[in-house]
Amino acid sequence: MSGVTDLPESDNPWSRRRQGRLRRVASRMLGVPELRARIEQLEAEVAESRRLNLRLAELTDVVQELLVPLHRRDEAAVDEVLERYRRELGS
Amino acid sequence: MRVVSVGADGIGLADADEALVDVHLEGRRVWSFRAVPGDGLVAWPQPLRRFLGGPATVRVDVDGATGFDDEVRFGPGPDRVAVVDHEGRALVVDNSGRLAVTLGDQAAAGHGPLLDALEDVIAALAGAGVAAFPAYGTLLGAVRQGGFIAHDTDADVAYVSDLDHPVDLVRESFRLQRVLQDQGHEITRHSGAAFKVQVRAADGTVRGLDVFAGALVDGHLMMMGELFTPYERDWLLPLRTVELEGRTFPAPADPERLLATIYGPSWRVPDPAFTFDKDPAVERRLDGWFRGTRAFRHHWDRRYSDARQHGPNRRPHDLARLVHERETAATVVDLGCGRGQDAVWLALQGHRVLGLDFAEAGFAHLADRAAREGWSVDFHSANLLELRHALAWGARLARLDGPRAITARHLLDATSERGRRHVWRLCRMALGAGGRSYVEFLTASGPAPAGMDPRTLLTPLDPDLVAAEAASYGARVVERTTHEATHTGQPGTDGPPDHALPACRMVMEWSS
Repeated sequence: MSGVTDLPESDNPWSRRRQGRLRRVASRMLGVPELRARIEQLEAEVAESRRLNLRLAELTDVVQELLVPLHRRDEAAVDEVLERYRRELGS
Repeated sequence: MRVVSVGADGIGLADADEALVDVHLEGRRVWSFRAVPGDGLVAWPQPLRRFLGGPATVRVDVDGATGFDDEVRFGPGPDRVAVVDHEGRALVVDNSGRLAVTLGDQAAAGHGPLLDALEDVIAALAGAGVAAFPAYGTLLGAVRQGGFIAHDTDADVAYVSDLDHPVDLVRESFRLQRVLQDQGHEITRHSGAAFKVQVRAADGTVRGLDVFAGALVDGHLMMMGELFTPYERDWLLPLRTVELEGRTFPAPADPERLLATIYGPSWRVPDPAFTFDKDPAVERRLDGWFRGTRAFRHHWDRRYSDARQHGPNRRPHDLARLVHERETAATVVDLGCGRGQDAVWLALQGHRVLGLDFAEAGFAHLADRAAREGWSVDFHSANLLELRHALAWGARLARLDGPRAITARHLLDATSERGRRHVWRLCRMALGAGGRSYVEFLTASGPAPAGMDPRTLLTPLDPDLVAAEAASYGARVVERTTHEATHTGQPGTDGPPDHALPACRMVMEWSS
């Protein structure tokens, strides 16, 4: 495009200043590969958080249904409490 | 779409398109599947293959029109193909790929136990504070025709909870399981929010009654295992009634709407090969909240599906011989005991043995024999993917008298990372006062693969990763050797089954 850079700055869509401004805007925006990577990372973070629900419920169950009854009983009944808890887990 | 061949290796299709394919052997439907574009040779489902030893008349219907009807010789055997169980009852491949006696093939008089179980379970759930009703296929049959769907094999129940947080829904599911077990029902968990009740009929048939949690969460109906969709509370509650096989059961306030939500607008048209179109976002949500405790369990159940009838090869594996040599007086716990041959061999060498595995069918034969013979081995079903199982067993094993050791052959490579971590935690609890674990697994270098391979059931692991994981739970790896593993039942990369594969053996000492 010979002659373009001969135009006054205000009339030149391809002026160096405008090119520089476009480059700065583009560099602030994420490209598609970066967006894809960011989405994958977010999905992994969401999945990790979601998995905590089952773990929390399991641990709560162990405390409520096993540790508390164990605490209340004497040594002789501990095996009974453990066996009952295990049996109630099903298969 | 055309059916171009039927043989021992499967059904050959040309110009395959979306179509419902019904396969009849000796005049009776045994299998249905949905063909998809690109299908070529569709292999027989694994559980059917053992029946294909002789001749049979085969009819293959495509969307109701006959596409193949001829005599086929599947193998050299003299007897005609008969897809029946050991008592001669007709079997069909159900939607999950297992062999089952269909409700249609079982005389209506035989439905009594399942209907009784439905009534008992629904009443128990209602008594425990949740609004329960027949769901999925059972609701569909009730609304459409007042009876079970003929090709169905099991029954389904769902309930609507008053709770709406996943932690609370899981805890409630645990509580409901205990209520049902206290009433004498046998339960197997599918996930944090669904379980199966085993219903045993007088004629010996065992059917499953699945119980699925449902809840209204942020204006959505969440229902295990497939739904998370915008929904109004008054489309479900208050419950009304529906007739099923002459009995009255609760039903959602608007059952047709629920059926359309589950099965689509053509829910009134019977489709024995129906499969759910899964929404990936819903799957990710329900997987994250509730699942992860069944990795490959149905694969192992299927592998051992006919193991009850005959015992395994009784020769012990090398790992069992090593454990016996090193742990002369110890009680041995065989984690992932499989068919139980190592556990039995160790008991016969004088050890007290416990065999644990989540595939009960695998060890059932030897467990029966051990009980009859008085061998010093007990087998138990244990799912180490469930933290509660791992902790309960860890606590029990910690109380064993005397020296103890744990052996785990091809367990670490048969489970997920969650399963491996539970194994380490169990070892730490059971052996923390002193003891060793002996493990064997297939090996590969580099990071563990992202997903497990359903074709092989064993996923090679990096020994450095295994050692580091175990160390983070308090283990000290005192021996580490490599060898070529055979008898893993795995195909080689391009060789015959039981091709030797690289494997690692580790001996670990534990301290708390």
